[in-house]
Amino acid sequence: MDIKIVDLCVKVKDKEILNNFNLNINSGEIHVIMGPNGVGKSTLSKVIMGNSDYDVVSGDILVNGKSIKDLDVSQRAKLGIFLSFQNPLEIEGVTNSEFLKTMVRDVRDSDISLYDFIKEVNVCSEELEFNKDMLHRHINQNFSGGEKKKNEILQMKMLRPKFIILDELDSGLDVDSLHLVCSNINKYLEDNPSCAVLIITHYTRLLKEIVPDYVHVLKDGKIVYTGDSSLAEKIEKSGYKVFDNGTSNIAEDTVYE
Amino acid sequence: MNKIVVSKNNIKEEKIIYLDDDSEIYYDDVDVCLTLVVSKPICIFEYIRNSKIDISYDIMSCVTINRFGIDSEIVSTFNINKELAKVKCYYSCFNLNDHKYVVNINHLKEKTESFVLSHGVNVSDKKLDFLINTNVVSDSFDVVSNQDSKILLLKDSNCDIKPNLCINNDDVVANHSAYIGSFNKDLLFYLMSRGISYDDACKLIVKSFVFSDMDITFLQRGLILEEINKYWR
Repeated sequence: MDIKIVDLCVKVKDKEILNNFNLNINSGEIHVIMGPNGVGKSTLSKVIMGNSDYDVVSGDILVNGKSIKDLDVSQRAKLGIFLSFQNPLEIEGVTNSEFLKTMVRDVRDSDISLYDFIKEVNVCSEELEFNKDMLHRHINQNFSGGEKKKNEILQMKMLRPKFIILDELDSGLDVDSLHLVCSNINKYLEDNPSCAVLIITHYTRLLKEIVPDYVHVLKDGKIVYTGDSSLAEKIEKSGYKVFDNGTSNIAEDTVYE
Repeated sequence: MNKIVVSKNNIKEEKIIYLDDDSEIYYDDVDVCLTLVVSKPICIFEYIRNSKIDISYDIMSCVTINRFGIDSEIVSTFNINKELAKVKCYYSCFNLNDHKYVVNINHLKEKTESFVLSHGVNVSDKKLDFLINTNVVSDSFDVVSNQDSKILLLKDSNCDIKPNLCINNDDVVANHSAYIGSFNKDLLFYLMSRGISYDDACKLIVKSFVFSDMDITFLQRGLILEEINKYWR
């Protein structure tokens, strides 16, 4: 799946969050967005997913050349866009398995037999070392931070998306769980080489597990610098202050020494 | 398990029923006044359809009541009249006409506890009112009383929740919360981001809202699901 974000301007309650934001993600590529708190990284993920709380003032999001601006959230998900939430919500009274079955039925547009569903869920759960008891508990209720993130990736595996957005996947995951979750994502990407990925993160530990093709720095609502995976290491050493003067002088190697 | 059916054919005069085992009570299209006496720890499932009922519980033990109502007017009084007795009442309902749901919780002895959770889905533009009155008498110390009320609006309507706490003792923990509003936008976004259609997402939220903490059997759950399925698919 190819994603092209063109001159996107987004406002929330008259506050401009994204300002002429541009980004191209070709199929099979892994992109990372980094940036200080509050610059609009999570906003970007929600806008791509179609959250109506954000006002898209101008610009467009194209998927395989077609605008998705008029599609609602579920239509975008059916197209193959998946957002792994930074803080997955808890829903009391609905079991995880019921949730999974409803989403699989709606996305695949056909009823999946109970046998096939259980078989598929069991395989995905085992690969994630996700306790099967969790499937019968209410959605994310009393789950630990790590269990919630595993549940997000379980949903991802069941939905088989073509474009994955990972919003701070590493928060709440311990070292072993992060490795396990990332190896599941890497395996999925191996099996689906055309799948594109957008990672939003603050830390490099996630990027050691899922190696990106491009790292972008987001500031003042737009991308101010793009580099390869080594840029993340440099940011971790020097912080974001080096980008304060704009994009012209940050490429100098001395900045990061 | 006891199964008690109060239907049109039942006499309308005031009745007293002694419950000493888990029970299912079905009220179907009746106008009735009942007193139920509970002296053992039990769990009760109440299914109330198109009825006007006035139920009074004399509670001398620990009792959990899972109550589901469809378009009914209910007044229920819990007289907690034995030390260490507890009542948990989970109520969910679908409302179509102007109705009131009144709960009076009377802590008549010390060291008693109550938790009243009331969730109403107002399907129409009619008025649904919750009036939850907690009364702790001056002799009742070390009492815990909590109430949580929510009304989910499916159409524009004017609903009310009135939590009244009348506490006459210093040694009491009492809390209340109230919410009236439409579907939670964040929940809708989360569910729809998984490819679930708007209608199915609403249905899941209603299910979540109706079942919440209810401790019911598979069959009892099925009965309520039948009702939910009438409005969504």
